[in-house]
Amino acid sequence: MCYHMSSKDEQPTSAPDVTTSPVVVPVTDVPAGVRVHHFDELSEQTQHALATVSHSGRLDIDPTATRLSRGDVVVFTEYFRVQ
Amino acid sequence: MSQSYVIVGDGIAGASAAETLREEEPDADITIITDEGEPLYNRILIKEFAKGKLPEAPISIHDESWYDDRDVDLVLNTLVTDIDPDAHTLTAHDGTEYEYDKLLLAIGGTPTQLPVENSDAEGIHHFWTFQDARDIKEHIEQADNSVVIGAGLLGIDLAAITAAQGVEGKYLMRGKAWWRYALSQDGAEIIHNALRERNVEPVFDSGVDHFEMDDDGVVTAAIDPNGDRYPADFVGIAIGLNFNTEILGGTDIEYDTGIYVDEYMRTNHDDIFAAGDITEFHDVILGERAQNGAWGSAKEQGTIAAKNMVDYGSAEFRWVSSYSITHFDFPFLSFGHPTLGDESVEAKYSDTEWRRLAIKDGKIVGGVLIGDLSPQTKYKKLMREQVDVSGQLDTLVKQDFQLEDLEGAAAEQ
Ligand SMILES: Cc1cc2nc3c(=O)[nH]c(=O)nc-3n(C[C@H](O)[C@H](O)[C@H](O)COP(=O)(O)OP(=O)(O)OC[C@H]3O[C@@H](n4cnc5c(N)ncnc54)[C@H](O)[C@@H]3O)c2cc1C
Repeated sequence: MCYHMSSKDEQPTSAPDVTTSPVVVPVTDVPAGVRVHHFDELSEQTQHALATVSHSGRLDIDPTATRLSRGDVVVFTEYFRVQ
Repeated sequence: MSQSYVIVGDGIAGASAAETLREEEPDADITIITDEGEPLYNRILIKEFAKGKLPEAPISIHDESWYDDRDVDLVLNTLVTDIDPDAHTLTAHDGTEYEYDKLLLAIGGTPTQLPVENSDAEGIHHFWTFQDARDIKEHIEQADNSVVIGAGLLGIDLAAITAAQGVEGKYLMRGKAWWRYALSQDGAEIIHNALRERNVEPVFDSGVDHFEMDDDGVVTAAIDPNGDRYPADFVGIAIGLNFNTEILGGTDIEYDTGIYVDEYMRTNHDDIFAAGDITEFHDVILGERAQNGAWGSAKEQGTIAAKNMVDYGSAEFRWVSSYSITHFDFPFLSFGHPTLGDESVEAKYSDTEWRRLAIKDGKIVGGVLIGDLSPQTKYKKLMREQVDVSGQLDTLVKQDFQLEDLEGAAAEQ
């Protein structure tokens, strides 16, 4: 049964420019112009993909179904940049 | 004639309602009034700013052009002081009156003050706004030692800020465990150890009896009820929220700790809605009134409220809230209502992996996951779909639990 969990986190402010699944890498510095998301802003699917990410950093998620865009940073157990 | 919508509060609930209202009603008049001096920012990232890990810029979500582009009137620095539901008007602190056809109250809460001697001394901080975060950051960068009070989800942010800024600290808690209403000793111990590794020492069976301050009114120490003295030039307090219900006084809008709304976010007045932290909503999953204090829930409530302001009954709030902690190298997530329930089941898998589920009438109503968040989706699904899991609690906390492991009716999920 599907309730109000939308398949997207929300409309991204810019169209996602990733056509393959996003890859995340840990970063320590965040430049001022970057979009930053807290883990709690992400959909359940994106959260699941981040929580179960393998060493390769590739998220098991449909790139069109996440608000994450290339260059974004996610605050989770570390800061991750989306490649 | 176009409808006029007024929203009080430009937090995530108010702002997401404005966005949805504009999508649904291109010609409506929409006004957002906030007592803050800046438009919507990311309240759940201000802790990262205070830690010194993020610059200011990414914390901002909307600049003023966002409102201009959508033809939404944004009124900053304006405290609404009165509502007249019969006249459909609001009054602000400067006497300005605003008329509305439909009103949304998305007014959140304000941190509770500690009712002890000298709790207004300089150097004692509460934490809710971006301005609070700026003040905290400026102060903690100069501080030598700290005390944090409030063993919950906001208190741990303050403790993590002191840790990230390299300031040694004492974290004074009542009882013997951090967030003792949601975690057992086993679960809390994982958090205690992580704090200790970061030079923040949890102090149990403690709290604050009063603060000491110097001749300039600056805090110097916290004295706990046992008489123990903890020197501190930085103090952070997060003992809870008072919901901003003062403006309801004199109206017959129903409220208790928060504003009563149904699952469509409507109050007992047809033209007045509420959304976000301020609501005590009819939770269709729990079957009773509940209150959430989380970003995702507030955002969803804003969206749902807006849809129902346009077309009442068109969208129901059915949501399992969640809230995570991102301060440690292991993940932490609480979901639903982990402090409720008539029974619970828990399991510890390693020094940094633990789970607890709160059960009410045989159904999951909340939980806390530490170390491994992968079962989140399964537990939330079982909760959302109100699946009876009685008799199968041990199965639920098997380390690699799968929905197929459940038997009987529960297995059909
Ligand atoms: C430091 C901190 C960390 C947090 N971390 C997390 C987290 O990690 N994950 C998570 O899910 N949640 C977190 N939260 C909780 C989350 O931020 C809130 O649940 C959410 O922001 C609530 O949004 P809201 O719009 O309902 O209320 P608010 O954001 O409180 O907005 C209400 C607005 O209304 C204004 N207002 C109130 N009364 C009036 C009035 N009479 N007139 C005019 N304006 C008025 C207020 O000034 C405020 O701007 C955190 C909160 C804080 C403070």
